[in-house]
Amino acid sequence: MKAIFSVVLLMGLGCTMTSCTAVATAEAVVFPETVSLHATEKAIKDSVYLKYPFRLRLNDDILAVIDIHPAVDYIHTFDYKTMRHKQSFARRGEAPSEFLSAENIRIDEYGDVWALDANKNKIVKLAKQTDEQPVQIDLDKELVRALDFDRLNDSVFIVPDYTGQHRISFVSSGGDILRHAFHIPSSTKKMNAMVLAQAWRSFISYNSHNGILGMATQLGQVLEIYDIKRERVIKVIGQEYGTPHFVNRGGYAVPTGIMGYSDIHVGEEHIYALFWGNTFDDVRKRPDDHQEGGRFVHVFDLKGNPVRQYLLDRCITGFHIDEESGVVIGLDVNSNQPIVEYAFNLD
Amino acid sequence: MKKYLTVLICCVAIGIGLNVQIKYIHDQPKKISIALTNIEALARGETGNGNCRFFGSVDCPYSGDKVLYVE
Repeated sequence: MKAIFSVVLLMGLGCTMTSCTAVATAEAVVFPETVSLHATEKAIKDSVYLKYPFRLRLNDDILAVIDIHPAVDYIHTFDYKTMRHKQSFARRGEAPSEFLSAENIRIDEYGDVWALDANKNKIVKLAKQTDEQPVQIDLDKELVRALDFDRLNDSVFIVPDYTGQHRISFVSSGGDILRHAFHIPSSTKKMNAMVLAQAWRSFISYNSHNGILGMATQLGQVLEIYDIKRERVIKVIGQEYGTPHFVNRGGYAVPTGIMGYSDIHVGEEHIYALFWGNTFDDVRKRPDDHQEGGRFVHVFDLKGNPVRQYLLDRCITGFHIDEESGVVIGLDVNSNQPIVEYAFNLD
Repeated sequence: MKKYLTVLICCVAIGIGLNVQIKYIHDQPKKISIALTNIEALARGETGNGNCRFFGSVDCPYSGDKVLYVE
């Protein structure tokens, strides 16, 4: 009887400890409130197959979407009002004008679409018309796999990469490195810089009005906020509990922790980050039951204080935030109609 | 004696036959399961780059492909 009681007690303790760990991971940042949002599907009218849509930008009713696993083209544009397909760009292939990958897109004030091809080490301004030639910028050879990019201004890009010696590089419109800034906020000593950079792979967003750069780790729950104009660190959120977990396997970082953030947007007053939170152990055990994407949009003020958490009814991989009209456009990769819209109110 | 030997041989033969049959039936679901797993892997786009599995949004450190997870 005693033995049975002990076994039951031990099992109970085990269960409690396991669930505590899960809660601790999910509740690493405490938000004053959680608001549930419900999606409205924006059905694409034409037969455009998006296998794994990952990034989207909206500019003057033109919605640009990146498919990171395309059959033919990486980038597609749609008329957001009618959801009619307009154009497809960035053909997959090895020819000089073709793409081997597409990490992100940015739309400038002239409506031009810029894309980063990390495998070709290029930033490309896509041609609007079929008779135009795209502008290709060969990135400095010192950069080891540019991971993301944003525009500092008309002639400078902000680029994080795998060198690990610095957090970001400022790159000219000719592709040359102008200077570097900041360091990976890791307390791990004696770790190969490149391995550390792989583990700390982050997505970036820069707001040129307030000069704030946000960086969100994909393999952990760390959000870095930098003041680029004064070149100083404002806050690193999650440095104590959310650093990426990984093992160094032959000079490569193999993630062992969680899928953290997959997109970030620095707005005029708030920073929005899309959080997943599922562990790689769960993904490995049940890859077929797993849904790609995150259901949490974490909202911080520009000083890094938690403001609110939105709980979505869909798992999304990337988003576009329109703060003025209170709209989140998301990409639900698990659905045949991946473009969804959420209305939110920050008042 | 001969009768006993014949019966014994028959029993052994039937036993071996049954064993083979049972093993065949037992292995069938496994084979189907492996085949289905392979089909699912193909459908999900197993990359085949070392220890990087399926397609997703995690950078495979060995190849740069976007994968579901790395082992």
